Amino acid sequence: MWRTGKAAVWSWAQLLTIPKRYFVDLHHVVAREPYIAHTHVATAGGAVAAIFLVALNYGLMHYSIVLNWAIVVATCIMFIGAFFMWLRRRKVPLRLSRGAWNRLPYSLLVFALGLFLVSLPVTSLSNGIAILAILLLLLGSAELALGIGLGGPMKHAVAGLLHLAFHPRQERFSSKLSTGLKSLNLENKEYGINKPSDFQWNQLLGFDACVQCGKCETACPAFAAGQPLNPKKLIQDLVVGLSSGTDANFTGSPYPNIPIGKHAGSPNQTIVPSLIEAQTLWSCTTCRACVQECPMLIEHVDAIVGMRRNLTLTQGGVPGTAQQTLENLRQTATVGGLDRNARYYWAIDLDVKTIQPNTPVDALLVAGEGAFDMRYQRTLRALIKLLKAANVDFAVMGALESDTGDTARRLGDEATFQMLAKRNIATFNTLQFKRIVTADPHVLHSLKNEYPAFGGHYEVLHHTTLLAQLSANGQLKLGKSDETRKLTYHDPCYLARYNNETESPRALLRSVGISIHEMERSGLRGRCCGGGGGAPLTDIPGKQRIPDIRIADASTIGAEVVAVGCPQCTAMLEGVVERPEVLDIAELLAASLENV
Amino acid sequence: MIIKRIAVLISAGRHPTSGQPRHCRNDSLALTMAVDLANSHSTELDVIHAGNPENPALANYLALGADEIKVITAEPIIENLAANLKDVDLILTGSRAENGQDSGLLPYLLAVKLNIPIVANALEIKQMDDKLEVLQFFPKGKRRRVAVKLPAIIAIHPLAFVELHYAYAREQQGKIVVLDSRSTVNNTVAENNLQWQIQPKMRKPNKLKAPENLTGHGRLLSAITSENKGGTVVNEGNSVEKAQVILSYLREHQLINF
Amino acid sequence: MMRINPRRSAKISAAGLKRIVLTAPANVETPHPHKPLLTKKNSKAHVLVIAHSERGTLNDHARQTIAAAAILADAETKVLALILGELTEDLTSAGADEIIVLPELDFERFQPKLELASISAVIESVQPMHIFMPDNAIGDGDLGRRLIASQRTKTAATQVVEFDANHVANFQAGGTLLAQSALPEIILLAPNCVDAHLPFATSAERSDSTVTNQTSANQTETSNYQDLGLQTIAATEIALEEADFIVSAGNGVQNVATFESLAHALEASIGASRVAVDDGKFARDKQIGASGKTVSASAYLAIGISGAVQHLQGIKDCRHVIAINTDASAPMVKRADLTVIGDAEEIMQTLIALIAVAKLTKLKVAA
Ligand SMILES: Cc1cc2nc3c(=O)[nH]c(=O)nc-3n(C[C@H](O)[C@H](O)[C@H](O)COP(=O)(O)OP(=O)(O)OC[C@H]3O[C@@H](n4cnc5c(N)ncnc54)[C@H](O)[C@@H]3O)c2cc1C
Ligand code: SF4
Ligand code: SF4
Repeated sequence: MWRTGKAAVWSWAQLLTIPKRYFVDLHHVVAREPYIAHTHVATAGGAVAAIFLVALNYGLMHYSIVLNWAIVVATCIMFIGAFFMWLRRRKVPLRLSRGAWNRLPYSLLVFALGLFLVSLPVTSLSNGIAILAILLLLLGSAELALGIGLGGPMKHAVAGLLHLAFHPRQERFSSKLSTGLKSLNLENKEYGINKPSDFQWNQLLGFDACVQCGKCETACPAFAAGQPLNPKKLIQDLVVGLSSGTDANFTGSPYPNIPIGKHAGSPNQTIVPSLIEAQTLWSCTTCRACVQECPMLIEHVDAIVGMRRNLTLTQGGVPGTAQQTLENLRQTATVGGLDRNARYYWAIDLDVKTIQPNTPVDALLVAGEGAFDMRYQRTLRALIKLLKAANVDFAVMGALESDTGDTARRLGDEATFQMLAKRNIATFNTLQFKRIVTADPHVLHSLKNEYPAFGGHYEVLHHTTLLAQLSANGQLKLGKSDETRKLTYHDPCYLARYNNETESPRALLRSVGISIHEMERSGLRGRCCGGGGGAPLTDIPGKQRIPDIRIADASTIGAEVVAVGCPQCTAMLEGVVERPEVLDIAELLAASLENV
Repeated sequence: MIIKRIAVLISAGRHPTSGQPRHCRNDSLALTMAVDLANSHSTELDVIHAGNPENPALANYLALGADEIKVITAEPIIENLAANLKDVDLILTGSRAENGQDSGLLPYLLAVKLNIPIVANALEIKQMDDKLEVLQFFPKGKRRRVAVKLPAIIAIHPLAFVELHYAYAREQQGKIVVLDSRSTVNNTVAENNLQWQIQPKMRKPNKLKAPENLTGHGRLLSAITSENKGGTVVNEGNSVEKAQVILSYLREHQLINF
Repeated sequence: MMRINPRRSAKISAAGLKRIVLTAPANVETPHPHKPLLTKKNSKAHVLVIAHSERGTLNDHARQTIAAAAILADAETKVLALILGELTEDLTSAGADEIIVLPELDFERFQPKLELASISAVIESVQPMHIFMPDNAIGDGDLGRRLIASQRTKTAATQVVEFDANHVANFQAGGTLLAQSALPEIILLAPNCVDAHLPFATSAERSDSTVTNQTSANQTETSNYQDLGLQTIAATEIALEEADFIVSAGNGVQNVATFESLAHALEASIGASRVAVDDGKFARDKQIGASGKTVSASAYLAIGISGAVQHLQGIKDCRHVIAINTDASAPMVKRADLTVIGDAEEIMQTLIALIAVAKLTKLKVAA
């Protein structure tokens, strides 16, 4: 079935990785909700153990009493697990799907009970009970078989395990975050995903592994803002598309404002708009909260960008002001259609070097589009002050800097992204520097994680990472901050979830004596500000704005200051009317220099 | 009458800040309208550029929906264009190019040459029998409907409501073909010709003023009215004085008439 | 022969439209008492200015064009203004020595052939040294180009942004180059490249041109074109992209009612910052900026808007930006041509009152 998808590199040996990934990586994700984790370990663990033991005992004809007892124990565990699952299913949280999934606890209970009875090493089992037991067992197994063959809930077990082995982004298991977005070979007319069969087969396998737990839905900022996106439904729609059907049987929450039952697809049918509406795809901020949450390790963002690519590259279908933005990027290599020479005008009075070919520097400061923003120039000025205080040998890129193409890539314009990436790499090649430092996590992500595919290998550091290093090794001497207001730190998605950097900003704040009051969603599970993925440009209407939700998170804990580390987050959060003050880590640190 | 052939004329543009070659927006609007019209009437469409076939700006038009661009390299442009547009029922152009002299004269010169009517500032076009109904732009929210007999030239206004869709894949599929480069006409009629000299440095144009040899009051007056950029900030005074400053500014720049 | 334009709009209330008319205010109009009267009795030559009127008056751009001709003309060259459409105002301060009015060639009607024939007849009879026209969208830009295309032996320049007795200059190559050339015979002038204030007054005598009246009588518009009528979109419904005067509200505007009455008093279109839109104070299509509309109004009154880049991107093409803000360090202040520091509500209220007085005074003067 997944064979309809595109080829991807893989090997059979990957199957051997399943057990570790299953018990370690997957349950890490599930463990964020301990109740579920325990029921899942019990139910699945019990079932797997029981089936394994049955196979061992009967399949290999051991007929050992000891093993039989072990089966009894395993089924008991499974029974208990399934029982708690049933308990939970009595009051289903909204994010969960209903329908066939509501039947699951019963079938699992039945299966456990049946196997339990059959395995009881009691010879005096009456015929009646024996028949009942066999029946129960059959019924329970039917769920498993049904699931795997016809796409019932237990399909996840098989697809999920295989998915673990053949995950499209193998780096995921070596605790690297980022995305698995593959560069398109444009010369070969690779234009992204038009129909379900355009996905790689292992991506399709991943979609089938979805257990409709709805964790992605709960995490999704666009869903929360009432924009027509629900990552769970999106994955289920792709499952529907793969198996030729309609979304009428979907029992979870719909895409806000898009009724269920009107969309259908099949493997070779164009996805947009018959299966998924374009505005669903354009609502995504590429924040990766869904990916972070998903127990089945599904990669929603790569799927979304894959489909966006097709819309953009073949139809020019980007909505809102995104069209103009892409044009600006093509024609001026800036997001705003601005004069590249003007990017560092604000730094004229700061006596900052502009990098010259043949004059090596330690650190190259790449400010990104934020440098055109008067607000973000304050952050950059603070950063420059800190770099100077630490005696870092650095220079800015000046007029040589072109946009990294991050926004273009997220909007699916791979052609413009590659054009910009190649151009920047060519420029970098003429310059001598040891590392790149940036105050923009989007710049960080594209330079560090996406440029290597085009031959650009650099050490790229977020300013907080560099400053934390400098502060730790004593090169940067920070004073004590005067900041006494209640402060919280908002993790930029592209810093935390894309680059696994949650500690440096916090360490820096602590080092100047600021204590951080964490919001409910923080660190790798932080909530998006709404600024990524070109979402502010496509600007799909919802019932509220994402930054309002994020500011509400901060206000809930009574924060008076929100510390940030990204120009997008700054702009998005400062766009909220009633809000705490928004300050970049660099600004907070620079202020402490007065007190050294 | 059925429109059998549509032609759209496109020019090579440049980004005003970066100077990078690009499509000219006005012409792209015309192109998009032409493509839509050609699709809905299953009509033949010629996308024509007079100039250098190597200009990178042309690729933009492929991405914006031209399947093929025919390039005319022969000079003089108007006469050679006209020679290629003889059997066309409808010619669409932008209202001003972004290259060369940007005079906006081309459609008019062509109309004279082909002896067909021209309607400029078109926001919308709609076919009605042997005529085309055109919605013309006028400032301050005014619109005029005009019917024009075909064949005709229509110059599209920059505010025409057309969404551009730039698709890379189309750029890869599209073709640029050069039409026979020999001029089919030999015409040496003067063409409102002027010798233009490009100024080496961009600067703000100077405003023409009558020589002021009058009263000091006049000089004072003109000093106030002159556009001194840089922004005045009024911090002092009560709200009436402040409001008065705004009103005076609006009056002075004739932005209000009371 | 004169025809009365059947569609000449009584329906357009004078006030309803004048708000964005760049017409010079009436009080500035009266000829300066100290201005010497320039008379040109023995003229040997003419420069011709051709422009459409709007409801009996010339707009700023047309006046600049006449002024341009007047500045250029020497003592022996008469400035002849050929006005298409009715003319009810006096042009002595504008710089015209002689005026021909062709009221039947009103800009509201589409009659390009008739117009071209009429102006060609005048050109034929007076043989002007230069012909000046405003390069505008109310018909002169179109007619000027028709004229140039029909007289290909005459040298011509359009969208002229700079000129004097010896040269003209305009932007070329998409505004990336400034090019100059010797003074051509036909000149289509961009707005605001001439100061319309003249230190002298002129006689501005009306003369009836029999030539043209006859021409127009003998010509009827042939059936190539058919005018289906002019329509006017209500001031408040004009798309922001097209609006010439925009009053825009930001987070600093608390009272939307006051704001709206100010917009109404100024007869301006309404815009807003994203924060104001998000706040539910305005509809989404009112948002100006990076993720909203890009506008190019002549006047942009930014009230309580801080001027984040995303907002400034949307107003980069506005000519006069006026800000009202409590914070003198807001980025908007740097962008604005004029900033008034103070509370939005208070200043809006005062402005509304002042405008009401000003309008009343004007009415009384007119009556
Ligand atoms: C990707 C992206 C796209 C965006 N797109 C847009 C866009 O298209 N358009 C847009 O506008 N914004 C946009 N923004 C938001 C933008 O960054 C700003 O947040 C927004 O423009 C600020 O709106 P504001 O000036 O009304 O509010 P504020 O920034 O809160 O400013 C209010 C101003 O009012 C002044 N003020 C307060 N009280 C008074 C008073 N009583 N009297 C007078 N003045 C007072 C204050 O001094 C301040 O300057 C975008 C942001 C992002 C991140
Ligand atoms: S995609 Fe993942 S997180 Fe979302 S419902 Fe499916 S399994 Fe759960
Ligand atoms: S990346 Fe973020 S916005 Fe996009 S679907 Fe996932 S959670 Fe939602």
